[in-house]
Amino acid sequence: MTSIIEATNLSKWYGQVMAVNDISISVGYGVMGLLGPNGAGKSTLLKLIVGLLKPGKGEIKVFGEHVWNNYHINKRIGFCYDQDAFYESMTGFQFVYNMAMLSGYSNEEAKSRAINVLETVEMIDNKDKKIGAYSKGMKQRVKLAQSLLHDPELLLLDEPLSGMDPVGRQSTIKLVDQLCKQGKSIIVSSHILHEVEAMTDNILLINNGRILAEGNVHEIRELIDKHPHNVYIVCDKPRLLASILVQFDDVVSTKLNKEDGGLIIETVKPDELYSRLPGIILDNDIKVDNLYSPDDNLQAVFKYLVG
Amino acid sequence: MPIHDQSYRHWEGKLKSHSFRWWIIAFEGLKVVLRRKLFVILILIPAVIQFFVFGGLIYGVNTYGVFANFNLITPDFFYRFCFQQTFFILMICVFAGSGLIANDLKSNALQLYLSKPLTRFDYIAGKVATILIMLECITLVPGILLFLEHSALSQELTFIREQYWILGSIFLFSLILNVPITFLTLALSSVTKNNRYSAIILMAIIIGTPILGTLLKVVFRANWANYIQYWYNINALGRNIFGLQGDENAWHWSAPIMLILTIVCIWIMYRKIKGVEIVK
Repeated sequence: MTSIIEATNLSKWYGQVMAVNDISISVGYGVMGLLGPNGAGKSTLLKLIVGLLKPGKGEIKVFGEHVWNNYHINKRIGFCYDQDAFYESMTGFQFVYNMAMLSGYSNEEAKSRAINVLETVEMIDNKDKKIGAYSKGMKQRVKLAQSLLHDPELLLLDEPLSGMDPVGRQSTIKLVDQLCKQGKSIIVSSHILHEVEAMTDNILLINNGRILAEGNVHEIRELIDKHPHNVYIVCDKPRLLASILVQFDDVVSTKLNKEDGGLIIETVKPDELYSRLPGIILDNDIKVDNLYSPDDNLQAVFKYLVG
Repeated sequence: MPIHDQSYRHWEGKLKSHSFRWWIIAFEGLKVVLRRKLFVILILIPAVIQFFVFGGLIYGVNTYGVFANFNLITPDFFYRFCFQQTFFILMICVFAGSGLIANDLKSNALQLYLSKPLTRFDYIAGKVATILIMLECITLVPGILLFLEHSALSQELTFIREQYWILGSIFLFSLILNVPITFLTLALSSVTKNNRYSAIILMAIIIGTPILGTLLKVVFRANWANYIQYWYNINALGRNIFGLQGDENAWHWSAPIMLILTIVCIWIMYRKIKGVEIVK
């Protein structure tokens, strides 16, 4: 695999806070999901890759070059940052056009490229509205547009789907897929597992500035399946349900919650439990008010991985 | 009927050279400032009117012999023109300059600029150019025009032959008037996200230092207190450049003071202007 990004013992700290802690990674072509809870160090890692931050220790190379103080490399990198960074009084078109000018295009080409990328992110109808009047999702699309306009080989998208409506999410996911097929390398950061899952199978899990796991999302999930899953059921006959469920081998334990009478079931095979549950509920005339998995989220995944 | 490709378009052409990337920042900054009608009406137009008043005097002296008995068009005349623009210089810095970096900090735009093929130098050069262009337009450009007007209207060539050096003095003095205050404005703008705060601090320095200097001079009865005053230093340098009477040795102190002030301001800007704000 040809590496586009090579980080060796990369560390970055803000005062006494370690944002990125001794990370060594090698990222090749394709889409890679950077997953981690808030404050995990995802944005810091991306900013180190763009060269916005100087590594505290270790080194990072993009396309074989050091990125810090190397503005030439930014011609090959597109960065869609997480925070809003706009002049609210500008229109979407003016903003993207100015960014194109800064990227070195001539006046005419900058206009043409601004129109082109605004079409790509489906913002062409709103291009003449002031950014201040845009919704969060629209701002997100304009940010995406400015990162695309210089046709970068490497695209870094920091929480690109946040604030987008379902249609916007879908079209952005489609766009990422298209760009990947065109041969671009894309890193998408998010703290929501299914968002990243929709774009790629290849993920990098990061927590407290350290890499937790790297590779195929299904392999990581399988790894998690070795740990018991929690399923929470609020029903009118929790004791009866518990007594039935403990007879199955995959159910490790059941526990009653005194506060709302809910039943916490711990199982190593959640899929089997879910397929079995409707039958048990119907056969025993159990009225279920609520059923959910409290650890079907990224935080729980991290909890398991960290131990 | 052809079906045109609507998908993402790749770029095969060449990008512009990097050398003038700063100009895009300056040009956009100027556009934003000049779009503010009140600023143009209350500050820029009066500054231009001042130029017309001085231009009218030159015209009157040369054409109608107004004040013919007074030797009016001297180096002091050009010095006074430049120095009288200081009010407008301050107003431009306060109303147009104080937000130049502060607003970018407020809207997190620095990460945007610096994730493009731009250096911190390009960014700072662009911001400096935004203010400096406006300031030179009300000092250097009209100063040179006044000189050329007088040269063109005076019947004899003696003025140009003997006083040609005034052109250099206008150029040098306009730089002394404009460069330190530009860097001071931008340095203050880079330390806060609120342009009002930077404007207030700038006003405090420019207006407050003469008050402080005068007070200290009264209390300590010492001349060193003069050098605390921003405009005293500018005035001392200006009078020396135009060869006018004044404290002849004052520039020995004023020049390094203004130089150090400028260097400190550049240092502050380089420290504060970063792609990512680090909150410790």
